Amino acid sequence: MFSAIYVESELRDHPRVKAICDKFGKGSAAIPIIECERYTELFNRKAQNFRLQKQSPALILARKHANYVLPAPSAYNIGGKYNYYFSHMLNCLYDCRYCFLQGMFQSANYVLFINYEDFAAALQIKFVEHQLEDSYYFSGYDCDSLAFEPVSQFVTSILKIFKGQAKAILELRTKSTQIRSLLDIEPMDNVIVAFSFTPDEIASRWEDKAPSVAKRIAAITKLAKLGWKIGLRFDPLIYHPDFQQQYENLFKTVFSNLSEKSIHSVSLGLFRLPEKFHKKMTKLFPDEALFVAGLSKRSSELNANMISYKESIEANLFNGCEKILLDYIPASKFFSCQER
Amino acid sequence: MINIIVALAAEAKPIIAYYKLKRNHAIHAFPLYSGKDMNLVVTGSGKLASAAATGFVAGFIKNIDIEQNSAWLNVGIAGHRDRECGTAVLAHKIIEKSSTLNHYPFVSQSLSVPGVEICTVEVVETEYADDLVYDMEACGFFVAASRQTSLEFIQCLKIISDNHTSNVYDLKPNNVSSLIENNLEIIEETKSDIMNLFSQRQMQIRVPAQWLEWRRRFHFSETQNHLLRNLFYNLQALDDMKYIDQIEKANVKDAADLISILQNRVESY
Repeated sequence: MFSAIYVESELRDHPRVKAICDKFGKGSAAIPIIECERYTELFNRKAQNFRLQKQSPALILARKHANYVLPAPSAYNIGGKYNYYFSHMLNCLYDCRYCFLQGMFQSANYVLFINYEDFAAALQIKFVEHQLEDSYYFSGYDCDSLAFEPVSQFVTSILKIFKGQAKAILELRTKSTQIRSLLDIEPMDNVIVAFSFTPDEIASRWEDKAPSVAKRIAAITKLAKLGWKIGLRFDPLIYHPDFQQQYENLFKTVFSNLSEKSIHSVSLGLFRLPEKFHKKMTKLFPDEALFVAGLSKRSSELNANMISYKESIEANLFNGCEKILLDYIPASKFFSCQER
Repeated sequence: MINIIVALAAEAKPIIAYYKLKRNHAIHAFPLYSGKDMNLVVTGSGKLASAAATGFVAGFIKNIDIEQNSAWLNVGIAGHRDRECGTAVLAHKIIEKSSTLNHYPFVSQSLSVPGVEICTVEVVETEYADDLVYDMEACGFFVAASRQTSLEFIQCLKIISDNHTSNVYDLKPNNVSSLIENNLEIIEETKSDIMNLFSQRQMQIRVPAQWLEWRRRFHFSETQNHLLRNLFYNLQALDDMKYIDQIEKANVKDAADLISILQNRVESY
C-alpha cells in the first residue's frame, strides 16, 4: 500500500501512530518505518517527481501545528455565507489527472495529520463564533474525505464533534466507496456526503485508482437509503466535443438512482488551475492532452493567472450542463461553483 | 546515464571490472572511468571529497550532453555495531553528524535490500554508539547529487565492513574489494532499479525527433528553445505531430516565425 511510513519523532509513541505502524510495519510484508523530524523535510523538498512517486507513495504521519480550519476559497460553497475547510491529510489515494494537488505539492507522498483533537478544538471555536448562523465546513479539499478512512478513522472521530451542532454543516467530499464509518452510525442532519463525478468516459480515462462511476452510485444509494443527505459535485466539468451526451448520460444514471428528497445540493465546478500549477503539471505530463486542448490563460482581474477553458468553450460547457441538470433538480438545489 | 560514486580505489576495482569500464585519461581531477551509459568516479574519503567529485562528474556529463539528466549511485563500505560484515544495506535516511540536517533518499518498493539510517561522520567511527550505519561519504554525495537530479534517481548502497567484532583498522584493500565483489549482484539490482525509473522519465519527456531538425535549421535563444520544446510537447499531446511535417520549411523565416506558426496551431484546439 505504501513504499514506506515516515513518522515525526515526537509522535513515535502516539497511539494512532502506533496502531498504523503495527498494522503495516510488521510481518513478512512489513513496510519500512523511518523517523523524521518534521514532515516538511521530505514533503516540501524540491527536485521530486510527483508522477514517479505516485506509483508507490509513502505515508507520512505528522502533527499539524496551526491553521486547522481555514476560510474556503470563494467558489467553494453551497450557498452558505461562512465557509471553511480543513484537511487532515495532504494528497489523495486516487490519481485523477486533472487534480490540482499535482501542481500544488512537490511530493506525491500522503501526509496524515494525526492530531485530530486539535482539528476538533479549532472546529469547536468556529462553532461558537457562528452559533447564531449557519456555517459550512468542507473536508476533502487537499485529500479525499473517505478514501483513507479505514486506516485514519478521522471521519469517525470528527463526526462526533458535529453531532448536535445544527448550525454547523459538514461536507465530506469524496469519490470513495469507503463508507462503512457512515453506515455504522445514525445519519446526521448537518452532514452532507458529497460525491464527485465526471462522465464514465472521462472517469475511466483520467481518474486512475478511483472507484468507477457505477460503484460511487452504489455507495450513494446505500447512504441515501439510510437517510444521509447526499451532495452531487460535477466538478471539474471536463470538455469533450460530445460533452452534452456524456453529461446527459451521467445525470440520467445518477438521478435515476436517487430520489430528489435525499439530494441536499448539486453543484457544477469549472476546470481551472493557477498558472503555476498548470506549468508544473504539464512538465510532469508533457504528453497529456487534457492540459492543452481548449485551454487558455485568463487575463481578467478576477481570474488573473488562471488557466481554464477558453471563454466560449467554458460558457458552452457550463451552460449546457446547467440546462440539462435543471431538468432533473429544482433550481433551489443547484449551486454554481464558479467565481462571480 | 548512471554515475557511480565510490570513495576508495579498492571499492571501485570490482565494479570497474564487472562493468568493463575504461579509465578516462583526459580527466585528472578525479580518477574517472566510463562505459556504456555509466561513469564511475573514485572520490577519496570524506563527505567533502564525495560532494566535490559528484559535482565534478555532473559538470563533466553536462559538457557531453546538456539535455540528459542523470542517475546517481553511491557504493561503499560502512560500519555498524552488530550487522554482519558483507551485508548490503540501502540508505533510507542519511544523518549528517556535524549538523542537524537529515536527508531522505527515495524508498523503492522493488528493492529487497534492507533500508537503514546512515550517519555520515568526519572521522572513522569505532564506538557504534547508536543503531546506525556509519560512513564518511553518503551525506556529501547525496546533497551534491540531489542538486543535479530528481530524488527518485539517487540511491546510496553500503556494504557492512566492520562492527564490534571486526575492527575497521584491520581492513585491507583486498578485503574491501572482496566485500564489494560479493555484492555485485545487489549493486546491479540497485542500479537497474534506478535506471528503470530513470528510463521511464526519459520516455515521458522524450521530445519528438522533428524538434532537433528545426533546432538545427534556425538559431533559437534559450527562451525560444524552451517555448519550441513545449509547443512540440503540446502538438504531441494533441496527437497532431503530422502538422509539423506539413509545414513548408521554405516558408518559415526564422525561429520566431516557427514559434508563431506552432502557437497558432495549438491555440486552434
